[in-house]
Amino acid sequence: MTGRARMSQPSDQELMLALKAGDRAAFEALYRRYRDRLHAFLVRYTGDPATAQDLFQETFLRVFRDRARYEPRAAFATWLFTIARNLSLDSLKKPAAKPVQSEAAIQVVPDPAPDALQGLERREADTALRRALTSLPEDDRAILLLSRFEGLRYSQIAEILGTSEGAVKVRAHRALQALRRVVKA
Amino acid sequence: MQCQDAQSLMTAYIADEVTSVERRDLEAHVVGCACCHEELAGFRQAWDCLVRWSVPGPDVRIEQELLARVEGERVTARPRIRPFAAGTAALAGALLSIVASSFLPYERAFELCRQALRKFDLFPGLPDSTLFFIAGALYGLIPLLLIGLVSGHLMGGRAPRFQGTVTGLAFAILITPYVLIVCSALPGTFTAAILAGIGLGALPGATGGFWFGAHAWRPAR
Ligand SMILES: [Zn+2]
Repeated sequence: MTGRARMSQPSDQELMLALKAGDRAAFEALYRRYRDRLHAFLVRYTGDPATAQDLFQETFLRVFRDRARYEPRAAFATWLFTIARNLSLDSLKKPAAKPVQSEAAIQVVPDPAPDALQGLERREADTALRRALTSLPEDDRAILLLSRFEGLRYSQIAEILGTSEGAVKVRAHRALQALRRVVKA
Repeated sequence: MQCQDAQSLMTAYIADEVTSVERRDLEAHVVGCACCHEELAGFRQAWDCLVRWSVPGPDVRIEQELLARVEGERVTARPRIRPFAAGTAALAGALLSIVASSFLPYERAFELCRQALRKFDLFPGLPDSTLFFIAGALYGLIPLLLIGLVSGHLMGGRAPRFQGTVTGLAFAILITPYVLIVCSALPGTFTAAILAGIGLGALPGATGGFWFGAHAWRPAR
């Protein structure tokens, strides 16, 4: 993509405003922009690909249905992940639908051409790390994922979780500390 | 900086969430402290390991299903009216208007209007009923503008003009008995002119107030 082409891309806010005005194409553009990120977040957050697929659909559908509620002063990513997190919490609360941490989601796929022993060790370490991540408290997990993978600021994460920036800082540290113990072991 | 302080900052440091002073202090401490140096390496290793968890994109089937569902959604949602909020705003507007008229009765407002127009030599031949209409319009416009601003601000951007119109109509209905009672001594045409003025002033007041309160005066979340 050239610099010029990138510059002509509408911002998330502009796309949301177009969507509010009834432009379906704007929804598709936002969807393409956030599809992979949101899906990956939900798989890592719920630890279950099937649950993540349902939540993925529901989140984007909610974005479309609630487009009138979007305030342009809020970053779209913050709004999107707030919806995703709230829907995930609702689904985790339902005892019948509580997803089991699926091994398939956690298991590390072998590299195509691994250096035998090193590859195996790394795979085991990664699997252990993912297991540790999925067993963190929900909010700690969300904080770590949003910070590490989505590159969101602590202030944005605090907005998503409805808490203070200081609390996010403390919990992020606690979460990474837990993972660190696994890596170290 | 103590080791404990340094270690408590490490995650924020790696995530680039520290101030420049914290960054400087932490880096200076880590250089001189083998223990914290090792700690930081451990945190960084965990942080780096995480990123190796790649997740494939969503299923094509899910994507098609979602886009089909969105395709089936209505684009122009019907504006939803909140009757309770409209009723409360109309009642508050009516009370405000009544209070205003108890301080400044309609006949007095009519006199002031006539004097003002005469002073500036405007519309010399204006009939009294038109003047009563203008005076009445102020008793609708101003209270509803104020109430609309506050309500629109509190309610946010949900069909504010529609909500404002309904509020204005409800207000007109609520205020009518009061006007009929206070104006019982006046000729019927004057009372009718006041009523028409109040009603027609309330509509742009409420509609504009709601709209302005919802859009220009950003609602608190
Ligand atoms: Zn130290």
